[in-house]
Amino acid sequence: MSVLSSSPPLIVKNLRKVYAGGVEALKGISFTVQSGSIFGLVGPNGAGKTTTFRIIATLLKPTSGTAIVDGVDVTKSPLEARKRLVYVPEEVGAYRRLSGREYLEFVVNVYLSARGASRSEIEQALDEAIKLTGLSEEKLSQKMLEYSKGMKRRVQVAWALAVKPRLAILDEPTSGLDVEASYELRRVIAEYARRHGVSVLLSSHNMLEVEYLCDNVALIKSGRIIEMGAPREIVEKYGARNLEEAYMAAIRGGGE
Amino acid sequence: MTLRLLLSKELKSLLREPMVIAMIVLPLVMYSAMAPFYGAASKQAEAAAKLKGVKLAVAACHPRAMEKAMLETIASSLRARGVNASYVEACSPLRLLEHGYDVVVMLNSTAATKVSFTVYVKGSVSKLMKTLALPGSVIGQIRVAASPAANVTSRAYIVLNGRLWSFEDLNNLYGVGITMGYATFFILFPAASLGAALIGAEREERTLDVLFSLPVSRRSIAVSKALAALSVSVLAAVSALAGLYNMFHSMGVNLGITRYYAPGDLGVYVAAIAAEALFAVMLAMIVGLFASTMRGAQSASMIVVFPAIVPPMMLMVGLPLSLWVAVLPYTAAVYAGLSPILGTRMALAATAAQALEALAALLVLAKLLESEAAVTGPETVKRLLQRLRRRRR
Repeated sequence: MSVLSSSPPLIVKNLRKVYAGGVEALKGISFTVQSGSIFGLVGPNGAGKTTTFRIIATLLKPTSGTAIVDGVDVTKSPLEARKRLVYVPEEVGAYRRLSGREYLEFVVNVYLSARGASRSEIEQALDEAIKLTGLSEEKLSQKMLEYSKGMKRRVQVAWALAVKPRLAILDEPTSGLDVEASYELRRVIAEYARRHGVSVLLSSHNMLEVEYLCDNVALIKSGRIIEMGAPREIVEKYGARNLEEAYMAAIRGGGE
Repeated sequence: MTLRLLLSKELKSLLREPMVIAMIVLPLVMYSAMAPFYGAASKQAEAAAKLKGVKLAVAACHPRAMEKAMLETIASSLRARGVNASYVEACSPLRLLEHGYDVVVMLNSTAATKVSFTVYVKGSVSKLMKTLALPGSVIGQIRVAASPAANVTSRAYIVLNGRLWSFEDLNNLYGVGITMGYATFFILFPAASLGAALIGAEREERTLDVLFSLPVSRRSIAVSKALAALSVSVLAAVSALAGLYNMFHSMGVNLGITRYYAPGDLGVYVAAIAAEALFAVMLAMIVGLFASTMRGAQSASMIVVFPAIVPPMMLMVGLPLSLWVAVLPYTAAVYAGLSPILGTRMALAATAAQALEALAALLVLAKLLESEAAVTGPETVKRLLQRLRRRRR
């Protein structure tokens, strides 16, 4: 079912984005997400994380530079790129008049049909997505209008992983969630992605979460990557006790 | 005080929505732009009243000497008032129309002070308003020209598209046709409202990013949304029309639909309103892309439907019912409504043109959906407005 390829799930090269009003959101960033790994893009608000994600998800067009998802240039072949990725935005919404189950049926069917999956593969992915939500049958039958933010996020992350894309982009997946919901969601991402080799690109303001989940991290500030590497390497480089301290040192000291 | 504060907050929120501003400004621009057409229409009506440019025959078949003298007097009196009128002795008014006369006033009978005429008018589809105004103007002029004591009675027939219509029939059918043109609003309002809201709802429910990042073409998204909006609005329109039919039926009003329209005509009419509705859905979706809220989207739908008022209105005031006008958006239903007069071919041409316009709008929408504007629509509008404000300063 998953699209097998020898290309890395994501190669971003010199990505630059200038919005119509003249704001330069990205000033030429480059990074690569290796197969089966979890990559964290972290930085302050307005640093360019969401712009990067939206370019990769084919929602925005870069001013220059490239984003290659599983060997496919997102600007040249957006539809092909979309067959290889799933994007879960930070401000996660929901079709209020659909039940959780109906929503999962819709997105899983659309995504996997486009990838040419068989009926049984679609059914299997749907079952898996339902399991990953951790929601009861009763809750899944309710309209999403009645869902809490945490439940909506669980539904989104569940299908994003269950369809086993080459790249799952999760923009601040635990933002605004309580401790228990965040913990559960982190566990699902870590366990499922690693077990099934789904590569994940995520952002978060919670450095403990990033340290726990990510194999590699890029620190982005004012549209530029100011630090990149494994969390442990970054912590050691700044002589910090944890990633949060290293992040603060990098943000205060480096870049603009 | 509290009410004032609440009202002020509501007005600020409403008037800061670009789509609401557009909804306010558009009618002013639109109706002002129609002024030249109204001017032309009033000139047409004036010309019809004075029988300007009309070649008129006052005729009788084997008249008696007294009748001949009366008709010659009438013709001469008309000429004195600038009408190109002449007395002709003929038995076939239709042949006179074929031989260059625009109007033939045929004497039927005279008895004591009663005079009876039949007016035959060579009608013009492109000047239907003038055609319909002529019989009344002619009889008015004849009454003035005839002896004031005479009791003039008349009937009128119009030769149009190779058919001889009684004036009453043609006039009724014209009214029904225009009404059928306006009846499209029963589908245009829900179609545009739903079309605009479909994108607005995605934006408001924050589902647009996920939808647009799914591996489906944006054209498929546009088509599925348009078909959904169209299906629901067809149901709404059918419900409204059935309700109105019941209302008219219980009031004993017969619109004469089955009398005037063959099943084929009604089929073209249904196709015409479907094409108009599809066009409205597409336009509403295009405009709705730039609305940041559902309120903005709803205002956007008004912007789309407002212009639909124009064609029936302009046709009512005398815009020529020509093929050129038929290709304008929102004219198909009027042409289909008037198809017994204009001919099915003209109605089909208007419907085909409307369907092509809907297709063109779909292509524009699909292109827009592929572009960044689909994602950043309201932000783009905001940036443009900011830039305008900066320039003004």
